[in-house]
Amino acid sequence: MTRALFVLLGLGWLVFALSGYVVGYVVDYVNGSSATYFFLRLDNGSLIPLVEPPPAYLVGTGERVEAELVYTEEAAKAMVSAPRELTQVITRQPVSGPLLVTLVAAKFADVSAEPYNMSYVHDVVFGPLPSMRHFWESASGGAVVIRPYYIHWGWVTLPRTKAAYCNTSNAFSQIAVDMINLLYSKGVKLPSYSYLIIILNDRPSCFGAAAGIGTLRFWSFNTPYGTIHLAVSLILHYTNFTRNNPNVLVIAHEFGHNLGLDHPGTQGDDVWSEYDNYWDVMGNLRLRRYLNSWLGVAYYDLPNGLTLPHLYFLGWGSFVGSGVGAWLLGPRSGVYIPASVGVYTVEYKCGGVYEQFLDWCGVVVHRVSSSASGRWVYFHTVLNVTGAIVSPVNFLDVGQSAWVAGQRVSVVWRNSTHAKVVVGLPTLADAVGANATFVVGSRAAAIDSVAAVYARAAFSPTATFTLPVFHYEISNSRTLFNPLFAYLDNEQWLTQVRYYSAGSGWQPYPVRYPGVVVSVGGPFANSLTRALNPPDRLGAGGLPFYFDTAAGGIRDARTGQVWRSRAAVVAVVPNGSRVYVLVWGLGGEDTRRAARWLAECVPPRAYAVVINTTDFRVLASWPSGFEGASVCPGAVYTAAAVVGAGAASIDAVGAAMAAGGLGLLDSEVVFDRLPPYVFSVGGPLANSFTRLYNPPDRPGFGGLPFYYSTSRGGIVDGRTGALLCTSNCFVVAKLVDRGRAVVLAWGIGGHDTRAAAAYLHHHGRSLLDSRSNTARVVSWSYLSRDGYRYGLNFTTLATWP
Amino acid sequence: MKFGFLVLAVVVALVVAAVLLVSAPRESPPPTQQPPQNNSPPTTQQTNTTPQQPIEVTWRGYISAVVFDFVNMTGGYTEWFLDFDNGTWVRLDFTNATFRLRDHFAIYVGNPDRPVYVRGVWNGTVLKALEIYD
Repeated sequence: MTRALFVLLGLGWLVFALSGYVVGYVVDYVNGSSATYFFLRLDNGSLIPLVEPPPAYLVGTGERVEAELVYTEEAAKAMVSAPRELTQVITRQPVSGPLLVTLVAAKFADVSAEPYNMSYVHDVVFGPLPSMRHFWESASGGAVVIRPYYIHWGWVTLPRTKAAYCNTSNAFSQIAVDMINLLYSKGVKLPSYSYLIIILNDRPSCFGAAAGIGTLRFWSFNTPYGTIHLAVSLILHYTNFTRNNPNVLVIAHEFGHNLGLDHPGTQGDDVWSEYDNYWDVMGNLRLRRYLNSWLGVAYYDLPNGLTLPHLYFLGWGSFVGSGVGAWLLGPRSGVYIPASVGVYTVEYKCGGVYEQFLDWCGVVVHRVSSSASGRWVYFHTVLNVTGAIVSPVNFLDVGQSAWVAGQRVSVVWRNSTHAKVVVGLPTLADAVGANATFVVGSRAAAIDSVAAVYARAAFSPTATFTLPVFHYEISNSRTLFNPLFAYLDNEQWLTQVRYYSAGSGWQPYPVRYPGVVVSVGGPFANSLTRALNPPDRLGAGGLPFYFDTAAGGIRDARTGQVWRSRAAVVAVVPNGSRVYVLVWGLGGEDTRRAARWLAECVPPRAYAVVINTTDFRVLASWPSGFEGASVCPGAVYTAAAVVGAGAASIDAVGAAMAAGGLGLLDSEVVFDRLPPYVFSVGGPLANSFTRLYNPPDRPGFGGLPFYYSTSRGGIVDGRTGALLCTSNCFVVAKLVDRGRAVVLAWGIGGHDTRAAAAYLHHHGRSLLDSRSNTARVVSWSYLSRDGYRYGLNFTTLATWP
Repeated sequence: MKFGFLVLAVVVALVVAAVLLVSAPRESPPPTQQPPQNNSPPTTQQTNTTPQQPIEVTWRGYISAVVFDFVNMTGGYTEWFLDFDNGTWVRLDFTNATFRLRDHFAIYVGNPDRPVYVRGVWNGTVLKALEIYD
């Protein structure tokens, strides 16, 4: 009777449980009112009215939901069930506490070689960094302690030859069984639920090209002391290369299988896909580094780290949240996005003990399948790169954005341990403080470009890694090559060079230098702004504010309202695989005020605003609801950048490289009102403030010996009269005048001036810290490879004093 | 009135379905409790014998696996087994199996605490699973 009741209840659940998609429509009535109707659309197209409004993020997204059928007085209706909890879609099998590991080196009966001594065998398994033990203990954050249970110090001989093992029905298990018996003969009884690692001196032919073999958690074994459960790893000797170049990766990888992990590569049918995960030890992409070891400096194959789906599975990682929001992701944590095919996880890999050896820092995405019968974690490609091995390029650096399960995922900021990731469309509040790259129009007035100096005060510049000299076997690791982060709209950017394999060798995958792109200046002055926010029509992503040429002002397409003076647009626009911030006003001064609003006011959680550039009132916002007075605590500026009013844009771009703070034209400078640090950018012919301190054809302030010679067309050292350079060089100087530091940065041409500002950013610390007047003349060039510029190179030509 | 007919129809459907389910063959006592003569799990030695006439069996054990990782990502494969938790295993092919498991598959692998029933065809060397369930 009870049984029948249970069956009835179960069947009842099946009858009344529904699955489908949430759709809706709005009816707008003549009198201005409206009504919204929501339905559950079943797979057969049937529409069932919902009894109550569903969560907004489920409507029209194509996201499968579960619902229950409920009866009302009117009719049967559906009610969307609460989203499933994470634990129902990503499973956990926590591992903690001491793990007992037995380590034995074993020879086949017909192979006498002992390729490693026992110090080697011990240290790659139990030694300090890098070792199997150190990797898993650090990956677990101390949750597990790997304890050597028994180490046989010396090689033992298995009772069978390689061929004999291959003649058994299961060579792997036969080796394990023989080893259990062999250890028993030496008085060793292996504890149940312990781990057995066998280092072999050769590779039987029936193991094919295997480098390592590992059980997925435990097998049962009959022993003279009863049935025990063991997880077993076999490490095969397949090359003498590993004698001097220990392969910790393979041993750590097999132990990962012993803990229950499978391969987390990309979804695909080729032989590489299963292992294509650069960010996880359970992938199999080589990470080779020279490290100190017991045999001196050795060239190690290192485990790559452990990604969040695996950390969570083992109980060592957590999720700070799910779905739409701005999330700060740190070590061993991330966010997840539910989807019909399972769950997508988003995490940041950079600063972990073994992550430090990865070539890149990046935000990576995995899909965890909820309906697996084998592999269940898949590396998710976020960029449009196909090939055999694509996981090393499919990550998001700052400023990059991708669609994941119908949501925008954008990275706006990161350091060596944390990253700020926005799921959903980023707002102005999310974008402020981002790692940014600045762009101004090549033909813009200097005042437009000076606005970038203010904008820079609201952001932090992007300075991230690239990898221009990578080779599969000899990696140079992460490197910073004095990158630029301020450009003209028509300029070739520096690239971040990543590498992938299409199956026939490694290919460069150049990415425009990372960073949220802050595009300063209006659509007529800046072609990037024009592409994203063109006149007379909606901008990218439906941005409703644009310049209306007929009306001569900024129009709000939703209301038709136009502002013809003292107005500016500030907007966040994700487009393609990048996030942009647009800052532009009706005139140059409006643009500068808009950038100043960003620097001094608290931006709302809107995608875009139109502001009054006089009082900073928000005139319109997208979405609506943020109109009104801005909250502006103001700012105390410690630095100013001064640019010649008639200078070329490139000079002013250099100013944004040099400093964030007050952006001033040379004609606006009032010395007594200047902040403590004043960066004067541009040469004496373009910037009158620079000319005051460093006039042409003669030594400058305080005896500064470097000056521009109009007759010789280059920079001269006044101490010797020598012409130091006529191209690709610049002067940087720090002069102390009436309690202020006046920092000069100027070159022969505008690009030289920008290089001078980049030098100040990357190498100017010693110059700026000097308590007395000092200066340098530096030559520079672009670093490039395969036609891609990836950084700047500097050589000091002269110093003063 | 209409609503009353609807309720009656649903109740009748539920009762009929319940009767059918209760009397269904797969709801007979778990096969390992009263296994047919040819339904006994093999011993280790039997797994080494040559293929025999295929028979349908339902065995209980836990899913175990061993992964062969090849050098330089040139492939690799996983062998699956049904482990009888007594030091005896049979190769498991679940290419065409239907999984009816309460939890995620990953929980069951190599986990003696989560045994499963496997209904399939045993040919003396490989158990070709048709259905795997708790």
